[in-house]
Amino acid sequence: MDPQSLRKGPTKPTLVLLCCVGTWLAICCPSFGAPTASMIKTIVELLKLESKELYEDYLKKDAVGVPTDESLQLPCFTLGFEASTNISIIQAYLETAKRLSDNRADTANVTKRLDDIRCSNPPKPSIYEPEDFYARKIFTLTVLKRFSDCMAELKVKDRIC
Amino acid sequence: MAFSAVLHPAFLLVVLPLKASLSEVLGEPFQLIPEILTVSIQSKLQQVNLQWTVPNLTHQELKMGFQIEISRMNASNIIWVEDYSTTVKRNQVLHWNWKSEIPLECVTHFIRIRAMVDDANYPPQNSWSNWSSWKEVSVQVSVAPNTLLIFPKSKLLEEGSNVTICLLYGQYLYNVSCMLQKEPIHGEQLDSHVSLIKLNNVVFHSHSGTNIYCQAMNATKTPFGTVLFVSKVLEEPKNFSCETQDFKTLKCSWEPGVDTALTWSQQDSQNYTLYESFSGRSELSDHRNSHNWKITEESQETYNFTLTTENNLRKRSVNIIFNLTHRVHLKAPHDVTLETVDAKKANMTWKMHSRGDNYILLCQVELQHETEVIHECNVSVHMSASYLFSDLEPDTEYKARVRCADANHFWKWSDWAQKAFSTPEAAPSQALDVWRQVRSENGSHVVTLFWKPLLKSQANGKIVSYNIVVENQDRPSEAEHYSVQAPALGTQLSLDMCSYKIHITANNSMGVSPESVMALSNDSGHASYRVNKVEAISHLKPRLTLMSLLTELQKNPGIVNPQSPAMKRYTCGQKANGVDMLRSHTLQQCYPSVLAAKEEVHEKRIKGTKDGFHISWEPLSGDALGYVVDWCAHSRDQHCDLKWKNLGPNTTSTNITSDAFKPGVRYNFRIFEKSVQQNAQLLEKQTGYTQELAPLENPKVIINNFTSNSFILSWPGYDSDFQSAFIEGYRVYLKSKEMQCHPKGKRTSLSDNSVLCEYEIKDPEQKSFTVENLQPESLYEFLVTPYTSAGQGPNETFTKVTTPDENSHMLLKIILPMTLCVLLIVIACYWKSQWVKEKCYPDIPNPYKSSILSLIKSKKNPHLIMNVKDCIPDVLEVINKVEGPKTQCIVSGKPHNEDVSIKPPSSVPTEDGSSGPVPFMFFENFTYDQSAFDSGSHGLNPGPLKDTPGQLGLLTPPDKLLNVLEKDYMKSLAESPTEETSLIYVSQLASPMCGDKDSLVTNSPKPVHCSGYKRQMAVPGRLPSLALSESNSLTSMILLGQGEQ
Repeated sequence: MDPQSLRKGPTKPTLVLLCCVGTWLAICCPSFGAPTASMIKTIVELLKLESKELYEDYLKKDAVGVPTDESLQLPCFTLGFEASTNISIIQAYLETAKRLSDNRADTANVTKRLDDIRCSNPPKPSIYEPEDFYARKIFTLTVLKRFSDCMAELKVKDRIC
Repeated sequence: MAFSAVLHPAFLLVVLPLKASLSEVLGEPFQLIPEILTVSIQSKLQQVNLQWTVPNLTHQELKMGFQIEISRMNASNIIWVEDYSTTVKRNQVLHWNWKSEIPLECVTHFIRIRAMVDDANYPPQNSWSNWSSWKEVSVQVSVAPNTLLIFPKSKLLEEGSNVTICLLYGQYLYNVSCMLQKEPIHGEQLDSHVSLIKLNNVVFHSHSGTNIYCQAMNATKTPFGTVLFVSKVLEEPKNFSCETQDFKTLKCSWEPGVDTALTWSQQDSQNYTLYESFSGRSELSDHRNSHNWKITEESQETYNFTLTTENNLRKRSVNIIFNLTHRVHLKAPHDVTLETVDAKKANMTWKMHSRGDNYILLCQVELQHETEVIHECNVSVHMSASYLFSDLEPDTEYKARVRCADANHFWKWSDWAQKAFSTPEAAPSQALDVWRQVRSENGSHVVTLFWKPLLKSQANGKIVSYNIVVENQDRPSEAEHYSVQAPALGTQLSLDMCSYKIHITANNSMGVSPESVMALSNDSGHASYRVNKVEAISHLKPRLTLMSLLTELQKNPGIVNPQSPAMKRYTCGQKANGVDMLRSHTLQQCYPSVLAAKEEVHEKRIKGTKDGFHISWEPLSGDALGYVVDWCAHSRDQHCDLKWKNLGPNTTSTNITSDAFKPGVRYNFRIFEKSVQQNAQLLEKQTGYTQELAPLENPKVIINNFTSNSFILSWPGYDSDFQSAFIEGYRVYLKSKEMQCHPKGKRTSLSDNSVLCEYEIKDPEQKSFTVENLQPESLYEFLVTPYTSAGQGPNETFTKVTTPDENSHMLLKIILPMTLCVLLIVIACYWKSQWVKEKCYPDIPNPYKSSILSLIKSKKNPHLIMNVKDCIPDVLEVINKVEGPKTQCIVSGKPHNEDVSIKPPSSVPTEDGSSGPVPFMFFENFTYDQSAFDSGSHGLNPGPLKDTPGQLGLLTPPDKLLNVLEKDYMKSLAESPTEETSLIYVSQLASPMCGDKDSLVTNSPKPVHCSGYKRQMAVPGRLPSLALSESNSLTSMILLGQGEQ
């Protein structure tokens, strides 16, 4: 091998610079296109209203006399670093509830709003889907109630994560 | 028990072959005993399927009857027995189903079967075969401890049906309760771990099903529940029909009814299938309420359609059969045109989609104006048609539309095809409704013309202007033309007092309206008079002068029509008045051939109602052309929104209604009679309110003649004609502490329980009231309020007055004359004193102030005036002449305060030694003292006497002088106000004759040789050592300075 050709690679300062730029990009890229504080505030307020409406509407329309399942542990989220993970889990539950309710609980809109305030896109977990229709109702009602309670307790911050 | 269960099959196995062999031996008929092959269960349907066969069947086919028994829980508990007949083939497996009310998971069932030959071709089997063995039917379900199972799961059923819910309890579970959509439901215990809940007539709650929720004590898993999918009942399609527009497609439609779809695909929406029996075609509709069926065979005229709708639970059908030509729904007409022929006619044309000219169509034509159908007719046409609209209104927008149908087999009208159009304008067809208001002003008539706008149907277009032609009846050739631009509805003309005819027309772009004519006579301005034309005077000469008419009337009153109301009065002794009326009329100028009389028309009060007024009148003459009632609101301002109503000749009453009538507003009505000459004559005046209200304001009261016992209240400015009702009178309320009402009044109380006196004035024209019998120095409060039929005026604050003191009034009456008297007396006394003074002791002129002195001074000749030096002072005596009245006059007369002091008489030494008392006069002439001293040029030194010894030295003898001072005069000096004066000049003059002023004045300028003077002396102003006690003996001496006076 020609020793001259070995010298044609990046020099040491260049490598350092590249590393710094890479780190900087890794840190800052997620903030590009992130929602502004006012947008977050608006979206969260809308989520509070819509999640409550979803729950109450489903309870009144399809789940009269149906209890919630206390064993179903739907995570809530607080605005912070762990928010994106929890939002993904919630979205998975909401999508499952929509499917299990045969679209009677249309959670597409709130799922989209959660997308808008999410910083990253972690993988969604797989959710157990009950077969029995009665169990499906319990599942859907429980997910909607937990999500509504979660949003009601959420305090708005300038940043999600 | 277990032992018997084991022995029972063994016993049967032994006994049955024996029985069969015995029957053969004994010749009994052979029994065909069915053999159960399988018993299966469909849990979701709660259905038991039974399969069996008939072994040993020797015939190819045999008609047999079967009896099947089902028992529940144990074989002896038979719950179902059913007979089933069929033709059985050899080795055929037979099927039978049974649906259980109870979910099969909950309870074990048993089933058995027996058979009997029922075939006519074979000897009948007289009795049933033996039963097959019991087959147990059950679904193996294991219930874990502390759990609960609910069956059926996700059952689909129709609204209104019944269902049984079964609960399977696990071990240790107790106290189970269930709810249906939050409503508790109760069941019956079947055994220790099974209970049944029967639900009858279930209702639809949601497309996602009805929720049943159970909970139990000691349960490890909660909750327990199931969903019942209750479907709505499938409805039969309604109003199913088919029709064609083009004979290519049949459009079938129906009303589908409710959607019976359920979630989770438990049941889809019902589908709709069309089946045509003649063609045998069947098509599934893509829509819930319609389907297009293609006509494939043109020759087919009749169609038989069956519409079937179906869901998971039910199927329903409807059927129609029809001839295609009877179901033709034409397309809407096309190429619609409208052409206006003239202002009142328009022609409409249209075309139709039709299969040819042989087909007759029925078309319906409509004409609309402002969404209202004003014309409608049916016409029979072929492919194209036309229709003429007549009697249209000019300048009007219309909408014409047409629709058609098959005339031979009417099925449905086509859709409308419409077109809007407008007719052109035409000349106005109606004369204006005109009226006038006339008032006399400065010897002329101010005529305000009004007209109502023409209706749209009368105007026939947009009115551009109004033409007015004023024609003088005396000079017809001199007509004046005016034009008023629309939309004005009136104008004002100023005309002289002659008669006029006014022609008014309305113009639009196409022409003018018929004219409206009004005649104005010379008396039209006298609104408050009614002119009664005197009839039957045709024998009078046509051009008589007024005076000759009057003369004629006086000579022959019978020439007038006695039936005329005015003339009736005239002939009843009011000849003079009638003549006077005639005299005031300008008959001579304009109606020389008509004799007329004016009668004042009094205003009559009428009572209106909420809806308006009923006006009635008495006709004046029998040949009236009609009547006009005009009215306007009675208001303070001159503006009058005049309204009027034309009425026919035979009318004597009318109802006047208007939305503008308001309660509490007075309306004045006038009734005019229109003559053939278009002249309008005032018949009556009426006034009234639709509703009288209580007065809104009280009069402003003025207090007059205010005394201690009475005062007068007056309110002249209160205009009772402009109130909210006819004022019927006034009430005067008077409050006082005494509460003693005048006999004319009455005691009353107000709403605040205050008691007061009320005086009522029943004459609305009386606008003053005297409050009498009052107490002096008392407070009174009063309120004057009008009253009407609707009540009295507002309760306002009372005005307070306090009556004055009676004595002060009396005192004024006494003191004033007394003061005047005293003043007169004083003036008289002063005048008298002046007179006395002038007569008795006039002022002694001061020579130094004399003008003569100044004249002499100017000539520098001081010797012209007598100097004291030139006259040696001496004692002057006046011999008292006994002239009583004159002396008495002097003594009794009041001396002049400033100039003279009268000394009492004393004994004065005289030259002749007589010392007896001699009356004399002693004058102190102060004119000579201070004033003289002020004038320094006259030698009197104002210094004290002691400072001027030289002066005192002149006095001879000095002791004598002191005596005089001490004894005679010092007292008077001491009393003198001029104490400060150093030297007092005393002059004594004896008047020879009291009151002889002239002689004194005459002699005074002359330097008489001292004989006219009394003793004079000058004394010092301050002589403190002098005693004044001896002043009674006054010596008449004058002390003078050396060389001075």
